[in-house]
Amino acid sequence: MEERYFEITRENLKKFVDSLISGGSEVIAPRDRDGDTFYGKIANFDEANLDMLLPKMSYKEFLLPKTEILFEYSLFGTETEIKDGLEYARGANKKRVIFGGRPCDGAAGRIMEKVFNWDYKDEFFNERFKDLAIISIACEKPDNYCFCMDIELSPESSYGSDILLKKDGGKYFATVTDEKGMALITPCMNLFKEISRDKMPAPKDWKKSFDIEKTKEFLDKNFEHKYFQERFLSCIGCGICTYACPTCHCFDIQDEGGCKEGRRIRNWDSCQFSIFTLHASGHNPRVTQGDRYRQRLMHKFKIYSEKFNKYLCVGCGRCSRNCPEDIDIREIAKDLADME
Amino acid sequence: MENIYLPKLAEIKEIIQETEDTKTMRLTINNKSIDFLPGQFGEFSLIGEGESTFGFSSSPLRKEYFEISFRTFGRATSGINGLNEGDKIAFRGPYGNFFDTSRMRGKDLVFIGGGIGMAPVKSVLEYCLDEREKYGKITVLYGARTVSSLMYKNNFNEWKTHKDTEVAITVDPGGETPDWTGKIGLVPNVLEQLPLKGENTIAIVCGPPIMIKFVLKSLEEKMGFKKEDIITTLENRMKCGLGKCGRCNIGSVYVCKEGPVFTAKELERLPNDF
Amino acid sequence: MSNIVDEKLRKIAKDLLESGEVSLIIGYGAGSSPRRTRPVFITDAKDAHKLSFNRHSVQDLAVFLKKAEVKKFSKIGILVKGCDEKAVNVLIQEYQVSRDNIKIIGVECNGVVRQNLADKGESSVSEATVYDKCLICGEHRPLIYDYLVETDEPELKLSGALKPYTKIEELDAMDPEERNEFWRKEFEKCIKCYACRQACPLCYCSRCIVEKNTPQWIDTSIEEPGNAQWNLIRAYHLSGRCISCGECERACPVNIPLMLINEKMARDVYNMFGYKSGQDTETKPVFGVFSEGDLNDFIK
Repeated sequence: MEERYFEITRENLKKFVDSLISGGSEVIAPRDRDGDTFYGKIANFDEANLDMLLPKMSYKEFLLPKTEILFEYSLFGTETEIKDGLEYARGANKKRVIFGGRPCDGAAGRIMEKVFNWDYKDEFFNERFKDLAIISIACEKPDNYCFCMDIELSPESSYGSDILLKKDGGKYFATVTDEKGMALITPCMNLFKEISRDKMPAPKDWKKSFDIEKTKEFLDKNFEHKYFQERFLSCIGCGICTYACPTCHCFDIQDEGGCKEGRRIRNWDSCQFSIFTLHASGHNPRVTQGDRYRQRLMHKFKIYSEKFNKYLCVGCGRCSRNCPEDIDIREIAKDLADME
Repeated sequence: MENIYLPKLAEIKEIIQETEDTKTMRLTINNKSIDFLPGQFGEFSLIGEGESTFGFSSSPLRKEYFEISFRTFGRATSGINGLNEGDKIAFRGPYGNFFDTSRMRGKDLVFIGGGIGMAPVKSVLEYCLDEREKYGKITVLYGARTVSSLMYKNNFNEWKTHKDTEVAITVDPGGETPDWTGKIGLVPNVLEQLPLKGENTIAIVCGPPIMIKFVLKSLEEKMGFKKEDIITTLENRMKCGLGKCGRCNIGSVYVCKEGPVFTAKELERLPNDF
Repeated sequence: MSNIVDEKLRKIAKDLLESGEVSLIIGYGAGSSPRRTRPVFITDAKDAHKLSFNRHSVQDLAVFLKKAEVKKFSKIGILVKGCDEKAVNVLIQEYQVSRDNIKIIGVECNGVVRQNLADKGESSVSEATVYDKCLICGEHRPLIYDYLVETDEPELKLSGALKPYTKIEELDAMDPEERNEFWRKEFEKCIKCYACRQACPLCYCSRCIVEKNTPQWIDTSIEEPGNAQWNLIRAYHLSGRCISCGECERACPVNIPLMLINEKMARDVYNMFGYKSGQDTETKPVFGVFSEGDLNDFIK
């Protein structure tokens, strides 16, 4: 579909969101809780906090649940009955709308989609991704941890969002990128006013602070550089960076249950844990935290881009903001680029 | 649209207790083997106890069953270890790349295995033995720590019956028994004493990481093997086997999809992350 | 905080490294924002100028003493606040580090600013901006140190209006169902990232119980009841040991009030056994010794 453009007042935006909710949609938006802001279900528009930059955690769990049932089993004597877990994933996001997230979060699903579909198709992810509707709001003032502009996105990027809203003066300008976005606004078309592209506010000139290609080049050539071992002495291996990340998707597969019935599940996992790559023999290819943080950098800025032509990072900066030891990935990516 | 994580069920036709803690299981689906290639692997489980990654250990040309060999170590393998003949085992696969036997045709072959690492080597070895006339001289070197930890004792004689096929079995010094008639010595040391030349010969190697490291050194530096003529298989920790779960990669190479079989030449290009 | 404090601790670090008494200094240095500091690892006296301490130095650096890569430096100098130093004491008491190999550089502290507030621009120290642990801090100076750097920060004024950990009394007053419901909701948030464990200077098991699967003690799923199993087992493993540095709660990315558990356990241990953890290096751990005077009415 060709992009379409609309104008909507703040008042009408509120009406629109409230009508989504009254129409039976589950709207997930930034919500204040415990002194911070997290994505959560809102009961009405006013519960959303649209003034803050980014919720503490991403909404990845709606694409890749923390624990996903792959199948359930029951055993009778020597007979095994298996119930396909795809049934739970199908339609799970049919009526779910993410509202008020940022362009970085909006981009994450489309980036992750690639690894879930090279060769083998992961229908769990696909089922959830196909239905999840994403209405993002462009950022006006990124903070010092943000670096979307350095990673082929921007505070106004519509990549991955079904609708991108841009605040300008007292109203919002909407870019509807696909049918899913149109389906959301069609029932409330009276609240929107279609405009031509040239009436949309001009994008700002977002400056890059470093060249991510250079970061990649450094990673290409300096796998055993002492930087990794020295810099990440301060890493405690907590894995928050990976759990908070909208694109980190590594998982574990485990069985849970008894000898009669139970389930096979996949759980969020982290390359920052020492047992992540530990062989049964006791051999571990990644012994130090330096090895493990390097893997995260490699996966984000080298491996994924070589395989899928996209960086596995949206520059949201959550890993930096949430790191208990103040490891700042933007600073590191820049360090590496400067060393190249 | 299918669930790529759903296992199939295979019947356990026969169990061979190889050593105290290793077993070979002969499996069938609909009373026959499945289609796979030597070097490929699968995810096996007793449902409820978790999956474990095993390479196939039988020749794909033997259609009556397919084999896996494993050591009981953690929860998943303990679960499988508890199964009996006639029980069902769950599995997904086959996954990964394979030993390209078309490259080996007409050449001399040396198969080198250590411990449980002999399993995938046995698969490609028996594949070649099953079409023996297509290959030159075949040498097998298999080593384990002790005599009692040698697997495939029942197969040694069968391997030897093939024409122009040498079989050398070794145990680590101190691991021999009074009646042991095989070789004594670490695999790389015994290897260097075998009458082998790097010319027109392909080496297939699998074993513990430390053994692979020294065997590669011997083959390349002392015996004149070219890196592209040394083929090994890696056993990185895996969960999905499908290139998704993100733990088996070495640099940009996903072992589960682009491996587990690599030539020494290919390994040389990978970062030191295995 | 003033440069005098920084200058003093840089001098101590420089001398220790130059004399070869230590091969590594773990301290704080400039962070990603003026309101953050981060751990720095100094091995060369020339780099001692990178050290700095201020009201944003929230981390408990004792956590690094459990890290294999750090243990390789046999003699270590470590910068600690009063609260953090107690962790060093427990590590010595539990034979994880040797007192002979550690030089303790204590810094006097009158409170550190909550990091989430600091990130929003807060930089003043007041009873409304510091961590709960600072409100009940009895030490300000480490109990044990080899060197002490005194602060020139004004004393933290307490009006008494803000009571730390008041939720504990509220929870104690609840009936079990209500209390259960409170914790069920909290643990539901848990994402099993185990950052609480990693940030804890005293969670040093080489293989954590969640990493053991024969048998599988803790459900791996990231939902109830597995989340509660994890949080409760960790609480028990820390009871009588936790020194209330609050790092688990600070690290928790989903804001579970873990200190309510730790503080409650600490109070119970004190009430039942008269024991406070981390006070010195010689006393035997409360759950490592049996005394005839111990309460034993739980065995019936």
